Amino acid sequence: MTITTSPATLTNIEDLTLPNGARLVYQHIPSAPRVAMACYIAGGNLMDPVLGAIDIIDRLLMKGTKTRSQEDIAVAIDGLSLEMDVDSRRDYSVLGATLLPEDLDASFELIHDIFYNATLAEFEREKVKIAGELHMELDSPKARASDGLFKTVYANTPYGLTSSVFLETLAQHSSVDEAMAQYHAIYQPSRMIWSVAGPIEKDELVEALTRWLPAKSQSAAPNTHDTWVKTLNAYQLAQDVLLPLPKDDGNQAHIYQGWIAPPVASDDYYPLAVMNTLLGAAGLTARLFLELRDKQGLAYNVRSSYDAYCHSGLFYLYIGTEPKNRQKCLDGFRDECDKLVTVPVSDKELAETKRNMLGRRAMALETAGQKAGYIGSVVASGRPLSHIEKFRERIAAVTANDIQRVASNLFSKPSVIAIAGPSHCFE
Amino acid sequence: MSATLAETPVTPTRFAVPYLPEQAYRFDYPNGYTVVFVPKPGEVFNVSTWVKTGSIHEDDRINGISHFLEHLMFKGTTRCKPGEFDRAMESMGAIINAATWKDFTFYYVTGPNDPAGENFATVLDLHADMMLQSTLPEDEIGPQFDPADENYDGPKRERCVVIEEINMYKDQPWTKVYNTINNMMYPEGHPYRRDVIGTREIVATVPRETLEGYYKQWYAPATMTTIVVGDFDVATLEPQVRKAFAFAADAKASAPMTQKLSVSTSGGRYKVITGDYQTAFFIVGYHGPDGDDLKSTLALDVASYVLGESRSSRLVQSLVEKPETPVFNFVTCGQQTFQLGNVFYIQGNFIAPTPDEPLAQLNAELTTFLDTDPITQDEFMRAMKKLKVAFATGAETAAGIADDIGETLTVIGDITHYSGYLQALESLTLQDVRDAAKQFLSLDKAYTTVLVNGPTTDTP
Repeated sequence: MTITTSPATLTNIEDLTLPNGARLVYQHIPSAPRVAMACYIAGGNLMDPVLGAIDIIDRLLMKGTKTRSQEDIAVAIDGLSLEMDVDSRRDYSVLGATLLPEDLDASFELIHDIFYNATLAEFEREKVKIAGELHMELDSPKARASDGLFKTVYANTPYGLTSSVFLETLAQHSSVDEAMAQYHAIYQPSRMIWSVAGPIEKDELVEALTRWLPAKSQSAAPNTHDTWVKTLNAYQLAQDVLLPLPKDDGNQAHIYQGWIAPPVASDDYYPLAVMNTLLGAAGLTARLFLELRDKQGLAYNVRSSYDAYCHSGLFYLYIGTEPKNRQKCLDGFRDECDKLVTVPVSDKELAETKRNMLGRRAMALETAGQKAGYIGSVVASGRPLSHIEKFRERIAAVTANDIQRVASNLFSKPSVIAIAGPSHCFE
Repeated sequence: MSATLAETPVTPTRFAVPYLPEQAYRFDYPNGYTVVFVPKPGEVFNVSTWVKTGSIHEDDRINGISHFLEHLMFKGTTRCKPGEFDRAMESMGAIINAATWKDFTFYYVTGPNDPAGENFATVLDLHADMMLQSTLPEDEIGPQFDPADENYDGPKRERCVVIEEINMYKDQPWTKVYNTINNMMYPEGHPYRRDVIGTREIVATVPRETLEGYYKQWYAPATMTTIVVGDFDVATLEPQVRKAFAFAADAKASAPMTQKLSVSTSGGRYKVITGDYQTAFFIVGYHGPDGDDLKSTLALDVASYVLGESRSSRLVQSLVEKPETPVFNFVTCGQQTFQLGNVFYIQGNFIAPTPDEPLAQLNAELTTFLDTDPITQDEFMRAMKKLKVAFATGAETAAGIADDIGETLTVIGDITHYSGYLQALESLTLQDVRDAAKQFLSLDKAYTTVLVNGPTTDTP
């Protein structure tokens, strides 16, 4: 057992491996009203025999076990005022649960039931429901543009599993037996990292995790994981792509532009994170906001994002604008990206950006749920817990040269531009 | 500097803040201004000021002015040039934002504590400055123009930003449904009928003088409440806040709207609108109790949970989870509290050739809920526990506490709706909830709007 002490809001995180093979990272917060748990399960879509398989399993976990119907599970969850969901995100699946301390045992009994005894019986019906929800999501032009970006950048890989791709693959998921094999292979304690924060005592938590999550007999895991890791680690776009997505009754053109970026464990993660804040994530002082919204009035919503996954990353820009301003916005994107490459960030702006990032961490880690989620995401992505306490010094160490370097590497690569809007904005 | 505020100490009243160790302090000053301090241990503070105006005080000529003004409040003061406030806040890591709704406009800063307390001092100073001394610069507003002019190539400043925000919302299917049902539920002339964000035409042409007049009319002591949540000593802090919010002696707001207006309307209760969508979006709306009727409001909150706000709820089970052939993609419900009367809504999405069958199923479930199989004791107990937990969740963050107190004081005016929430909830009975459901949710009182696939129709 190791104890890692972190400054600020994350202190005394305990890290231990349980007899059943699960890993527990735990922060005792006596003042928190509830216990927050995030269970990260290795695999995610990287182990799908057909893309989307684990997403279907996620849904079916709550739809019936050997002793409980879907409604029984719903009544049990609501009866405990348990907030619980399972969601798969590319590299791993995550069970999130927030509960009252006195309901720990009852909550774990329920988690045990869905992790060990799910029947996956409503397989075909759930596929129909998933399709309906995906159609609903794609009725939003902004969601359609985002969908287009991700599925084009990461075409034919698990990182490109978007709503429209899932709609295409749904029909290929036909075997409940295959789903059951994947379920038992993935939902193993040895694949789990439990990140827990709250007022519960460690011994009580360890006892519950050990009792309710016994080791399962090993099932053969789908063997796609290592192949995808190799593919994604080396993944690059071959050329620029412009993807028009007409929606003729739209009022805006929703424009995304994205580039393949380094993964979360890369040394370049830190300068890129600083660059992202500076460019479009700082808020009202971000460069894109100041230039394209404030000065030119081109948008209400304009920003940048850096999604860093375990084996790759995506850096992207977004703007929602009047269709006739499409080219002005793309020019604006290009100008701001070029500036990052050619003009060193001033000391003042760099210092303000870093203070912005580090100051915001207090709000991002205010609740037990936020703490549990963040700590879990760090270890689940393969980073050591020391990353948490070293984060501040790594950000502080980023220089203007670092930003120019990562900007040059990034923006010299091909990009995908996805635009959803009226047809005339593609003319 | 106003002598009545800066120099005259006021004895605070105290009220309990559920889940926090210390009671809050409420200072009601002679000029009508109110400040609430909520001591909360932790590393985050929140300062927010709530102004008792929104679309409720607008008319057809100035629809959207409250929201446009909200944007312009960030564009400079007598002390700070445009951008200086933003930079000062964000460079410490603070999050700044504002929002406008029917009954209020509020501005907040959430920031990290620092050992010397300098962050908080800076936030307090500049936030107060923004609330009291905004200058609404003409060049930040931008010139007036005709938004229908395709060839307009003049300067595009905040007028255009707000117009893009209007465009953004208009692209969302829920906006079309919500605005349509709003139009049905309120008669001509009712302030809640209008879209809070206003129209492109008004935003493009409203003169600066009108904006400034509205600012002076409504941003005054008696219509403003500041909430401060964080880890501080109130005795030290209160004089600082009092000094920072030094209103001019002649600052006086108009009297806020309080008259409850009739909501009877002959506009019809069912409307279908069309657009380029693959799925159908619907809202069923009801007029609910008065916002200051805490018992009825809570009873409907409980009913909402049982009806559609949980996994085991009636509508989720009957319409989404159990049908052999899924039609509904999701369904939920909830209640919004407004000064001039609450609104209860059921909303959802389905895929079907026409809306007739899904709406018939929904109506059948409502009839069951109200008449043949009313809320059970088990459902009632689950809902009660859930509402208590939800309230506790709101108390986990500085911003959550500030939002709940600020909205309660500004919309309802009675802090016991917040401080006594849990006791009021405990005093509810199953019969109270059944009665409230029957009183407010009968089918003959429902308004329904459905958005289905078809040629795009104009919506309000």
